Amino acid sequence: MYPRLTFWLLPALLLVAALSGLLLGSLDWRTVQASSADIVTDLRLSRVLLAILAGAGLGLSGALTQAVVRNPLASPDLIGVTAGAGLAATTLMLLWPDLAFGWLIPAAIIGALLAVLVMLALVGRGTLNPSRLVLVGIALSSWLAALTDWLLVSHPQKVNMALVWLTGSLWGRGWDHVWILLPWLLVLVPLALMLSLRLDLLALGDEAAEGLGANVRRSRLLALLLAVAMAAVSVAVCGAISFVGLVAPHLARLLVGGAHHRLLPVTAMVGALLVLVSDIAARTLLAPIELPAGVLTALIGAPYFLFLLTRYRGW
Amino acid sequence: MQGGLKQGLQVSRVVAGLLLLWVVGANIGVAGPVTPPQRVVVLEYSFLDAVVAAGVSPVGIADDKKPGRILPAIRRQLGDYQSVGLRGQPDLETIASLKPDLIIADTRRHQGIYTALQDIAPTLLLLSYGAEYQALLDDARVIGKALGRAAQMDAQLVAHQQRMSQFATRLRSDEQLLFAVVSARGMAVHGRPAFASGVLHRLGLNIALPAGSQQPYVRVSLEQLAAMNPDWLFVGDYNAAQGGADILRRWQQHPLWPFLKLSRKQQLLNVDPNSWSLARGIYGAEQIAQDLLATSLARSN
Amino acid sequence: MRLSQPLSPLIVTPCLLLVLLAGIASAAIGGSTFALTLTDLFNAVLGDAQNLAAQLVLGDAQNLAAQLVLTIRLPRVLIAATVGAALALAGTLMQGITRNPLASPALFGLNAGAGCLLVLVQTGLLPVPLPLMLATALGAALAGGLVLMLGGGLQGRIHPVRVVLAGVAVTALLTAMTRSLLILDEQAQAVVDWLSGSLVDADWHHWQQLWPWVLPAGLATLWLAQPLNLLALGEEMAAGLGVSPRRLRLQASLLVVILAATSVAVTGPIAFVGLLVPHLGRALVGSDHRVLLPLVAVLGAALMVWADLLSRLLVFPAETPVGLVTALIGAPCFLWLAARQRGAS
Repeated sequence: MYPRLTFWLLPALLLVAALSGLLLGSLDWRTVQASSADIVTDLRLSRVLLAILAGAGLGLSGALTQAVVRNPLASPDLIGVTAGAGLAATTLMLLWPDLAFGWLIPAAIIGALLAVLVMLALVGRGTLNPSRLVLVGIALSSWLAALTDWLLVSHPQKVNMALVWLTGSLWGRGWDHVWILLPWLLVLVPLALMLSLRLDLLALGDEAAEGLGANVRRSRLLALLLAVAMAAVSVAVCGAISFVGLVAPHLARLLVGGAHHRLLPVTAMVGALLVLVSDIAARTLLAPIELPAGVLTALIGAPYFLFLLTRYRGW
Repeated sequence: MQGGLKQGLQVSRVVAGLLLLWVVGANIGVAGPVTPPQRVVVLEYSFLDAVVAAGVSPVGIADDKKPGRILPAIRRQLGDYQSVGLRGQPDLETIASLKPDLIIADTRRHQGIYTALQDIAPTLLLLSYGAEYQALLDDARVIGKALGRAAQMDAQLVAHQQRMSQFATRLRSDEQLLFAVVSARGMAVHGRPAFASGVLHRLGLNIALPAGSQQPYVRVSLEQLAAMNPDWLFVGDYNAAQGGADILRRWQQHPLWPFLKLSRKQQLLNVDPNSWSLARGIYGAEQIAQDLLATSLARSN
Repeated sequence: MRLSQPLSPLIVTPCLLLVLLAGIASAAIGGSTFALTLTDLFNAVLGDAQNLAAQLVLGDAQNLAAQLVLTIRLPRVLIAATVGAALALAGTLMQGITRNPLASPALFGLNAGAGCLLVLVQTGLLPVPLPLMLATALGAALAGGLVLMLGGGLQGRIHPVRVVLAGVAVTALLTAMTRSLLILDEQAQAVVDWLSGSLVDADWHHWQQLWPWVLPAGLATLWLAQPLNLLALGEEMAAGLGVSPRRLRLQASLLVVILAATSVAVTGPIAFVGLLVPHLGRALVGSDHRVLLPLVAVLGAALMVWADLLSRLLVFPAETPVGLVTALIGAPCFLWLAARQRGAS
């Protein structure tokens, strides 16, 4: 735990990553300078900003989910949020391809909310028993994924677009998408940060929190709602980038400990860094062919998650 | 599904028309000589076909980084070009750096990045993936106009029709044909709307079609193949270089196989899926005709 | 999670067997592009070999039907039934050892492993050429083994939640890789169909690779029935009665991997059979594994056979992957079961 160092170092790292995101791409710097097209401002800057925004959204969503479920292995991927948003967005893309992109975000939010509502209904109101939440979430996710697969198979001509989106990629995203995502996060992120003090109370346990005057159920529901909304807007713009919501809070906890007023901002930065680095690698590794950023986050995140799993002693 | 396709086609037509108006109209609006686009980027093989037919060599092609998929007849007429990556995910940076003055993109694939492409250069959206042969020829005319080479294109198309008619007279038409693409796990028959079927139809040949199906690509089992029972089966395998799919080998050992007409007549042929399915254009159509003429379908006289 | 009074297995089993037989008969002749009749089925199955050989040489329409039933329909139906039974058994074992009613073989990452290796073969990226069946079975077994290891199999302590989470992580990783490969090589997208489970090219050849694994493993599950009953009473109780929960979990997990990996290698991932059928079985006859295991095998077989028939009729004459049909049947059932379960808990 190095809170002070972290608060200096992380923004600096993020800045460095952002700068290299502007410098690196499928074309080398000399070619970019030589061409009169505004590649840096038109294409690269918008993608760097989007990666930061989406990564922060996913990371925060993960931290909030873990706070609500009180299980360090929970994440929006595990409780059906990503799968719900994914199903809604795939439905929209395959069945109404002519709709404007702006509809994707509300649809993804509705899909994610519905998934969470179904999950809460299945878990049983009142008690949010953590391990039951995760188990029901996983089962629900796999069902939603099966439906998504069905949509894919029955629309073979549009499989490619949906596959790109389902793996999570920032390909073809630009300023339009920044302006769509930014207002949502401008509202949601401050709300999440405001909630952090109440979350610290929740971490003490239900009874202690009640004793200190917190309305446990309401705080928890609000945090869950925020988590769903943030994951859904990020997923709607960048696709289902996996493991960021899981790994970012963990790394942040290693760096600054579990107090949410420190944890949440650091999680946001770590999440942003993860997605940004993955996106830069995705653009440059096989250029001009682009890899989905989601596979890179999975390649980083899954082994880390499995490592956590073997270390976790709270069974 | 069917309605969606029709609607998509109509929408694409309207979009294409409007864009054409915009492209051509903008050029007319400028006083002085009209400058036709010189630097063209194409994001599908079928657009490459049309652009080359119009006598233009594109500066950027979405060739999936597999230049071998471009037909030899087209490759011969190509100058230096740069690959802009996958057709499904073309690289915007590379496209922008090529400073094109016209981009031709697929309605289905590239709708999501239409505005981004439009920011780089005037963009024409046309249907390529799953498009029918006749529609592709119409779109070639649209591309010719957009390139400011309507006359050349029309001449090419007329010549193409003449050649196709000639090919048609040299082919017997009493048997039923079928084109299918095989992969490791199955066979997809190309149905009525598919490009190859359109070409076969144009050549006056009969197609053994899956009954009642209007989809461009239909997955079938051996049983359904037996039900269609074509006299000829043309098979494309994209992985032929790596040994190919073994599904046909297994089917050939199946007790049902000898019942098929194509097996009794020994009329199973491997063809290049690049020209039969991927190229989707003038050169592809003529390559199909050439392939057919090399078989015993050619009239002996 | 059961009816107020579990039905007697003496009543349920014959009924189910009847449903299965009717399913086999109708799937063997129904949903065909050829108009097949029951007579064709009898001719094919009961007609004497000599007659058949003569028919083979002559090859007129009547005999084509017999040929069809014998060489395409029967293996397909048998494979459907066997895979259904294997998946149902695997699901019951999974739910038994994890004591988690939502567990299913898919959570072991088997499907994702099989899919990933299949796509590797299809894109030609695998350096050594592998037969398809072997590759998919290998992928499934490797992924399953990995999940077991990470789930605590190495220390011999498989923890229910841990194994499920390991399965989720491995599945997510493998799925992301599979999807990336498909994006990079568009022509490989033909296998998307198989990735949702299909019986399109099932033939005797597949059947011969399927039964030597599934039959012994299926019989071996019966041997675990009584220990599973004891485990349901609680770990301490089971240990006190002479059942080692550790060893039982390991044995059962191995059986699950064998049953599900061979199934997925032949048909691709079939959704929901492994999750749903054990629940239906428990609702019918209660949770005594000695009765439950044989029953779910029959139930799973019947479900798959009917789903296969449905999959051919859905968008006739095109084939719909059977895994989609089971997913579409399974989803509402699953929600209903989950809601009931909530009421019970």
